[in-house]
Amino acid sequence: VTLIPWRNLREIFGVLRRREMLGLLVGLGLPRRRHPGPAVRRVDDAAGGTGHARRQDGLAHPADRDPARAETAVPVSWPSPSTVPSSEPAELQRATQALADALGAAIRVAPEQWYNFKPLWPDTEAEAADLERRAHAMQAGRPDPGPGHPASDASAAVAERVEAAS
Amino acid sequence: VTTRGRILLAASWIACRLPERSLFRLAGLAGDWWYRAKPGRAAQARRNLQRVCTALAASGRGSSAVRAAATDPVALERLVRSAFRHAARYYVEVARNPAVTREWLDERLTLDDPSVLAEAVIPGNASVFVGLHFGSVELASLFMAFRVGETVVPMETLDDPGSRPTSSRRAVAPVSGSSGCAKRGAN
Repeated sequence: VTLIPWRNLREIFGVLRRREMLGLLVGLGLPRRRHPGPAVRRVDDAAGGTGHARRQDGLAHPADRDPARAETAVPVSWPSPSTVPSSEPAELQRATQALADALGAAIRVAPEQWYNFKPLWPDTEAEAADLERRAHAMQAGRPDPGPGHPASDASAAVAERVEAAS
Repeated sequence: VTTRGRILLAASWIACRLPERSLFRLAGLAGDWWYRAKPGRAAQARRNLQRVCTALAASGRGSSAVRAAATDPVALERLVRSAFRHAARYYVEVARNPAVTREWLDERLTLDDPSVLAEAVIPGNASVFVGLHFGSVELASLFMAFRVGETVVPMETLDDPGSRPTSSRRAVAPVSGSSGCAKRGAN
């Protein structure tokens, strides 16, 4: 494994141009960085500059640690590969949710074996509602407006229609 | 290398040469001590686990220990204490990374469906792997090194320059002796 500084985009693109393997590690645990769709977006941005965009069609899902075998073995499973057909906001949000669901399935086997020492959920109802609003905006096909930016009335109406249809 | 870095390297060297099972027992004791010494940290873990266990119990999922923790404070506290033990064990596993071999990994890592990996890794084709930093980063790194092959990983740099050789060694050591992979601009 070769490490490169994470802000070195030139080197990241260079890896892709050379058709080498690239691993990206995405941390989502910090409250101020909560985002409804960063994990897949970073991949898509990196691939987009090299002609490999929209090819990442096998989202590897996280390792699952079985408490009964925790002393000796770590079984790994992939529930089912997720396809990301485009970099449209709705697709990014859907893929991110799929990753979150897969991660949740892995964690529920033994939640005490995972890192539990950070605030992982919104501190307030308002923050939770803001995250939900941003996810709805992406599902409606609009780019993530970012934290604390109220959606326009028209955008909210679209989001409500999407929610009602889902 | 700073003094702190040297201490970390020395601790890793020792950990690689002691029996794994004994080290895990020590890690359990250290976790118990950690749990008692950091009540604020324990409170955060308690809040997180309470939320998870309540949600799982409400939907009829989770192990019996998890479902019990949803309503029983004693059972919840057992999970909180266990979280500290596992966190301590994680640091032991990190320290022992340089001693990990392909055989060690094969013995402990079972792929549910290897064909998914074979489909993703095609010689000559570039692939992008995304991992979420929730669990052990090192296990994913070892998996990539031994089961996938040469891989480039962008990483955040450490604030303490003296510790950089330690962290770089963790990630690079498993393959550095086998395929001559260069450490390029690391940390």
